[in-house]
Amino acid sequence: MTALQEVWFLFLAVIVIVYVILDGFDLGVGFWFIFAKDKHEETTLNERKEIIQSIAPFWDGNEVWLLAAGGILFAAFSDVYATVFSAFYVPLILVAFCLIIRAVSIEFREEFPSPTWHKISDIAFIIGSLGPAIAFGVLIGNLVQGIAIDANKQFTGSFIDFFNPYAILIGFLALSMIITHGAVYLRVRATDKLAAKATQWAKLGIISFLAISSSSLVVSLIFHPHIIDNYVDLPILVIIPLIGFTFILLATYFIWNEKDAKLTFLLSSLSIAFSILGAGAAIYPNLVFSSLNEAYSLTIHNASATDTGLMVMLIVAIIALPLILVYTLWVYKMMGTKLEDEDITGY
Amino acid sequence: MVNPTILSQIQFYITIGFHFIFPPLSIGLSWYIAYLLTRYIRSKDQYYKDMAWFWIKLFATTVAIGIPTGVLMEFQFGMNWSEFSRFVGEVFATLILLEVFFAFFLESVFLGVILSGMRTKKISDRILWFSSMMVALGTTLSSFWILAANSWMQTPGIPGEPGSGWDIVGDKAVLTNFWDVVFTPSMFARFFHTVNACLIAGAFFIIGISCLYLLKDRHHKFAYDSLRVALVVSIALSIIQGFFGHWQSTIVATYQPAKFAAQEGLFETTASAPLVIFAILDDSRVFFELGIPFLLSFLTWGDPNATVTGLDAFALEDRPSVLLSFYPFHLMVMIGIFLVGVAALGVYLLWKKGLTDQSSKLRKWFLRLGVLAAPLTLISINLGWITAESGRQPWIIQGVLRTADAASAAPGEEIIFSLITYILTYIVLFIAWILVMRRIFNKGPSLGKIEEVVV
Ligand code: HDD
Ligand code: HEM
Ligand code: HEM
Repeated sequence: MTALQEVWFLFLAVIVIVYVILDGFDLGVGFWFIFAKDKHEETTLNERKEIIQSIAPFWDGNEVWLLAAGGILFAAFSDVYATVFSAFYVPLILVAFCLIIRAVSIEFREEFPSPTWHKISDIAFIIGSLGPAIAFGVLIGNLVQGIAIDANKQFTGSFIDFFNPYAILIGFLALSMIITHGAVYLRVRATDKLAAKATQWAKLGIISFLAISSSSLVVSLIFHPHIIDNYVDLPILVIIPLIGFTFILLATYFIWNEKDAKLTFLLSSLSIAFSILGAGAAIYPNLVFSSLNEAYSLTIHNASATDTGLMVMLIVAIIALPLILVYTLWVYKMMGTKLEDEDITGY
Repeated sequence: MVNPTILSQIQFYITIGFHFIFPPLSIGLSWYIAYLLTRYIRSKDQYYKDMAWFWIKLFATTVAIGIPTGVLMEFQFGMNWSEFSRFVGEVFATLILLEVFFAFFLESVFLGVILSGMRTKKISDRILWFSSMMVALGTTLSSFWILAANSWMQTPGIPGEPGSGWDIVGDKAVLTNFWDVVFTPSMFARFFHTVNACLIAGAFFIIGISCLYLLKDRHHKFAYDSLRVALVVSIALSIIQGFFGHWQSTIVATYQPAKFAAQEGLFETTASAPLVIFAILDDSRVFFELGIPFLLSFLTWGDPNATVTGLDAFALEDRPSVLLSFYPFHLMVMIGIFLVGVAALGVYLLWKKGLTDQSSKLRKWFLRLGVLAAPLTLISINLGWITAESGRQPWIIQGVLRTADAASAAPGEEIIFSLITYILTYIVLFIAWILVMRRIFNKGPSLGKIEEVVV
């Protein structure tokens, strides 16, 4: 037991939070893409083109936070990485497939003016955006309720088990969270016309989020009461979900009353951050619950690297993260300005 | 049911082989783009910027596939090689984490600036130039860390010994000295040889496109200007590549003698060993071979009479496949020699002013060979990897962990499913890549038309 394992647990949470905030919006816009119009012409009124344009400078950098989260699991908690990734073999194959077709659809969409190509490319973008969001939600749902891990840290179940009602509910929770976030993002970046639409979309999104999140909270408390063990042991922790709840209410208020777009985005991001922190506080010190026997659960203590390794990684992270944040923020500031009609080039 | 380990190996072959078509081009082209933009910044001559845009478009097409296929690779360690991942996490994945932190972020964030700049043309020249430098740096750093990780798998040293930098405690590999793990004995040779290969791939890609334009009688000035730079670079780098390769060979001979014997097709330990140039052989014997006497001993140990270890020095279960090492290795070297030839012919024509002489027969030949050389370079890069990786078999970490003990317990059916998914996806991706490139090629560079909007 050392503090280093706790530090890395916190780091992992922070990286996941940044990932969900950043990639959340660019995956989330994929949902609204379904309702956006495409005129198949080179005109500034093409909403699909505009949506792609709004995330084009950022999607790749955002996705790297996913690699960072995976890399941390691999390096700092290799048993978790090995067990979870091999257990979720089929779902992850599909996630990777989605990410592949999505990347290509973003970068190649404008290369061919043909309407057929646009149809194919648009379907790829939609599936490629929504697939991973749902899959990650399903994955988290399963990790919280527990998967069949034996004494050797091996998964002994089948991937069919993952598609259970609770996990699917969490999948939709993740989806509703990011589509709201995506709509809120579009309000900030899109041209006035599309931003007006996005304002309505954000309202739909937040309603679905409030409905799904409250029902999944109830379901979790009934069927997986272990998630409040930590809060019972250490009641002060409740402050984290309370702050999260406050931010969610504030965000709802801002969305509903069409307040300042940038502030709404900030509130939406903070809601995400505190929801994830709250979940982290609930599962600590477990990373994956075993459904066979509580003693087999993978925790930050029985699945972690040694102190030497964690120390090396910590030094690396402390040097690298500030640098990354500085140039990422700089690029966001430079490229993230509100789009104008004449910016929407291509087909 | 087919053995899941074999299936995972096949899948790894296909997915990394496919991924590894694109990074070399990205690395090579990113430096060329940075070079063109530097000239532009210095001279303020719009011509260089227009040239750069053309290559940026091709570069963008290439990274669009390089990136997501790489993301899959990152997942695959845990998915297909979970026992490997469980064991090596702390040592190996620290290097992967460094790649993410110090290379992928840099490359992806600034790539976004360039690609969006390409569409809207709204960013300033300095920022464009700076971003191109950061992307070039990012791609190269990425190769450094991934090659450090791979080199550790090739020459990990003996766990627990001073200088190896790692140890085995319980059932896990643990770090003891980070820098020793980064700089394993094969690291530098592998890094220089591979990155040089990537730069060569970039240069021959430029040569290929330019030659194709000249064969089609289009864009003469653009093609000659591109050729002039690419030819000078390619002749130098492809000659140096032979020396880097030789350096690699001596390291392989020292640290991985079984791989060395397999790649040279040497079944018996021999004094005064000949260098085999051509052979017909299988995994157990040689049917026919043509060699240069004494040369292998001389090249390897600097003494024509030295003894070179053959495969007979290793137990059957410790031998790599000769077929999968010998032929890829020899083909790679042959392509290497061919590339030197093509570059030399081009430089000769350049020097004799024959490149612009449309009636010259030699010119026509050079143009055809130049087109052929571009894909051959990429093939040669993959052949090199196949040599390096299959020569390491049956080990996944040389001398420490066997491939057969490294795989996940994932059922064969699931791997067959993923294998089919990826083969189909990659075929489609490859076709899409070619089609987009063809479109960009046909539109050609738009020189002098500053406001032309890229679609
Ligand atoms: C010599 C160079 C080299 C080698 C040996 C590899 N790669 Fe690669 N990789 C690159 C050079 C590169 C690159 C040039 O940096 C790429 C290509 C396109 C790009 O944007 O970055 C890239 C992209 C790339 C990405 C996407 C990064 C992003 O989102 O920007 C990932 C996750 C990987 N690679 C992972 C791997 C893994 C797991 C490998 C081995 C098993 C591997 N690469 C071999
Ligand atoms: C000209 C003579 C060449 C020689 C003597 C040579 C030698 C070698 C050797 C010995 C290896 C094996 C390293 C190992 O087993 O770990 C290797 C690997 C490799 N070669 Fe070559 N090579 C030559 C040309 C080329 C060319 C022209 C290219 C591509 C443009 C190339 C690309 C590679 C790559 C990518 C690898 C795998 C990475 C590695 O393990 O270093 N080589 N080469
Ligand atoms: C750090 C990076 C790398 C790691 C961790 C790695 C690891 C592995 C693993 C786990 C396998 C499967 C087991 C095996 O057959 O050995 C493998 C095989 C293979 N890898 Fe690598 N590899 C790396 C880099 C590369 C790269 C960049 C290439 C280039 C194209 C490559 C080409 C191959 C090939 C062709 C095989 C199949 C060899 C065989 O089946 O005999 N590897 N490597």
